[in-house]
Amino acid sequence: MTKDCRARISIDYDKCVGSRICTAVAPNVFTLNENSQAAVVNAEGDTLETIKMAAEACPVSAITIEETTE
Amino acid sequence: MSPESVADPESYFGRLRDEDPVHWNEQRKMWIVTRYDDVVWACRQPQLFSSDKLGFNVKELPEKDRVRYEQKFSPIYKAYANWLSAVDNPLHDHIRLIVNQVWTPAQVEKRRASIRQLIQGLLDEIENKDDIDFIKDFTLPLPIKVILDFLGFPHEDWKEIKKHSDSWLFYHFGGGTDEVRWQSGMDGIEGLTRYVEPRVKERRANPTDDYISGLIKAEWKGDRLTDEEIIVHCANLLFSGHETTTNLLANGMHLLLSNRDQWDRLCANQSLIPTAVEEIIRMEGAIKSMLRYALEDVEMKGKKIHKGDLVLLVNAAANRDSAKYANPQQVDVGRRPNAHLGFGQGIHICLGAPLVRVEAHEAYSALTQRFPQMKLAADTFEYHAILRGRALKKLPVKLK
Repeated sequence: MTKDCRARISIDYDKCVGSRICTAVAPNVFTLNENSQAAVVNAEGDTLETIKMAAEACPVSAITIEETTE
Repeated sequence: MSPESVADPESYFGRLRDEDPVHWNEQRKMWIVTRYDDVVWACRQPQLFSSDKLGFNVKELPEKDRVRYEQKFSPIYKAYANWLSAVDNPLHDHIRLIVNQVWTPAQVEKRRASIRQLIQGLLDEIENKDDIDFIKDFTLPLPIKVILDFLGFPHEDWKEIKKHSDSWLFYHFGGGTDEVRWQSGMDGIEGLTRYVEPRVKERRANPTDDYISGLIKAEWKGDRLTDEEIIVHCANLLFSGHETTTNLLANGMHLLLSNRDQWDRLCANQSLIPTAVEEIIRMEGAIKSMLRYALEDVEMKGKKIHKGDLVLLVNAAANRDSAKYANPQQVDVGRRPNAHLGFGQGIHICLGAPLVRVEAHEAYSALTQRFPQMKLAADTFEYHAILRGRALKKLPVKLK
């Protein structure tokens, strides 16, 4: 992992239940959309480690993180 | 509940969904919400709809009895004050975010191999029998032993846990001031916490790498759980961790065997197990509805729900809403997508859902491989007359 690593974040809206856990773990990355489901507000708002922690904490595994150097 | 709606909840809730989706039930004195979009919306607004279960029970007491009940049945008050599914924020997030350090889908997944082994052991015990009660012989012992393993407690304690759980469960039936019900609830929750307490204290003194030791160490932003919170959480896991899974696995077996083409399809194609499990939860989940009360005046479908009103969110009816699903009354073990509401939605999404999924995948996988000839051994099946759960009394089956 290098400093240039970024996360490409995908949310599966068939799975997302609006638990809000990601918004607590990585509050500068995730917010709630108008359906009270997760949405990415700024993919670089928190560290990659924190974003991964949010994905792992999701109770329905709705968040996928793809590391990219782009 | 009428006998018809116990046997077939869809007969009542489905009619409401079609005719009056936000319905005031005068007898129960509560709103009944049945459409998919409305149930999802309400579940995701915890600031509008409280899950405070202690509040529901206290609301049913006449003002004059409230102090007396709080003193007489204080263990119930103490347990509910820390019970994850029964508290609102900020307390809910305090508990959930710490628990989340040791309970995630990935951590639950690590239990798969031992759950598989447990299932094979239980099926070995019944394989030479022709007729069994699928509940007594399989879906009862399995989840309770899984949760005992999870917590690091011995299997032989399962009957004791079951006895306390049944007493606690009885408290959730009926309503009002019935002191027998409150006494049963107190006996149950005291039994569960009395079982857990010395074991939590022991882990605090001699930590290992097990779940409770992890929970004691777990922290979120410098915040940790107290022993009292951990004891109630473990009592909650012992209770919630088996009761509903027992019912789900039995409901699923009944559903599949009542729709033989779907059972045969599953036996012929194991790759359908994950979608079959989701379809079972959609059609015959163990939780039919969730109770809330309004924290503010809210308008839904033109109806004015007043602050303090009870609101029953019927996920079982929402799961058969034709606005969401094609052919909602049809069982399709390959259905995809299937964003059912069987585990709830929002902040109170079932904590145990990942564990239930692993247990159900492994159970149906083993059953389809070992007993593809299984069939129902009765013509009629009785369900417990409970409003919020879906629970068969017995499930007689022929294994071969």
